[in-house]
Amino acid sequence: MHSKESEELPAALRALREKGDGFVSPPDAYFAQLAQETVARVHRPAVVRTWRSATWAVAASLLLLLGLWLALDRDFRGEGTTTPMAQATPSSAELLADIPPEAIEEYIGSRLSEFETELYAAQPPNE
Amino acid sequence: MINAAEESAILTQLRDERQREQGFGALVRVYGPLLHRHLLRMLQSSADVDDVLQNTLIKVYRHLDRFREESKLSTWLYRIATNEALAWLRSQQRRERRISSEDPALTAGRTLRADPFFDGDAAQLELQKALAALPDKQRAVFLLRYYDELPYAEISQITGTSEGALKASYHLAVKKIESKLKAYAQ
Repeated sequence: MHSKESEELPAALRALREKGDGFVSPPDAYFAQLAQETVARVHRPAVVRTWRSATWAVAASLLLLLGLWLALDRDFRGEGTTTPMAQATPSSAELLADIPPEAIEEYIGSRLSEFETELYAAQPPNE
Repeated sequence: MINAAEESAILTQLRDERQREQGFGALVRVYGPLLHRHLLRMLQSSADVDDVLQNTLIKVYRHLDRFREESKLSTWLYRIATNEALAWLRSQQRRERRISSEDPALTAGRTLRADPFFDGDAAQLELQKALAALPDKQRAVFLLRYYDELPYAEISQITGTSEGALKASYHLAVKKIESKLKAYAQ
């Protein structure tokens, strides 16, 4: 670290750096084992899909599609007892109205880089 | 400190298909302790470090051919480890936000007191608690500068952030930690 920057550190932080971080390192054997385990994991063969499992997956998908098609067809012809999907699904505005503003704010906040946000808050770009 | 000759010898082995595993063993032996300590400081939990360090090393092994020697090997390793740690922390925070609203400093204090890889005194624990309260990326910048004493140019390569932003971030972190330590001392 640059000596000037080091001198500018508060005394408590300078003293703590001299003391170290308080963590201990694992023994050498840990790293030897870690290297072996990593290589073994990299070389572990990938899961191979067998013909039989693929057949079952295709059969299940076809059955699901058939069920969906029958249900939709019933609704389209007016035989179903449920309301049409367009009427039953609330709009996004209605959905958002049920969510408190704090929750929306928290969601947006969690998507922003905390680091950049903080920097801009401390020093707006136009100042 | 790892010297250039040692780095070069490891890279030579890694480039040779027949010596790759041996070279990887040497890489983990030489750089493993460095990465383990960096991840311990970032994650403040040795159990999490075990997982994140292995994920890091798997990525390193799989992407060895992508290392073009445009930076030091340690810089490239730090970059992968830091990204893995930040991704881990993001997913952990998403999980924890659903079940707990505890102050991260308190959580870190509790976790570290029970961690076999933490042997610090009360003041060192207070510093760790202050670090836990920093945003993750700012903590990474602070740790790389304060403990590892890396130049800003290298931290910039690791984090992908401009040197100016790094300096501002580091100084903000120092101010925040200082105020937390002052509050603790009073």
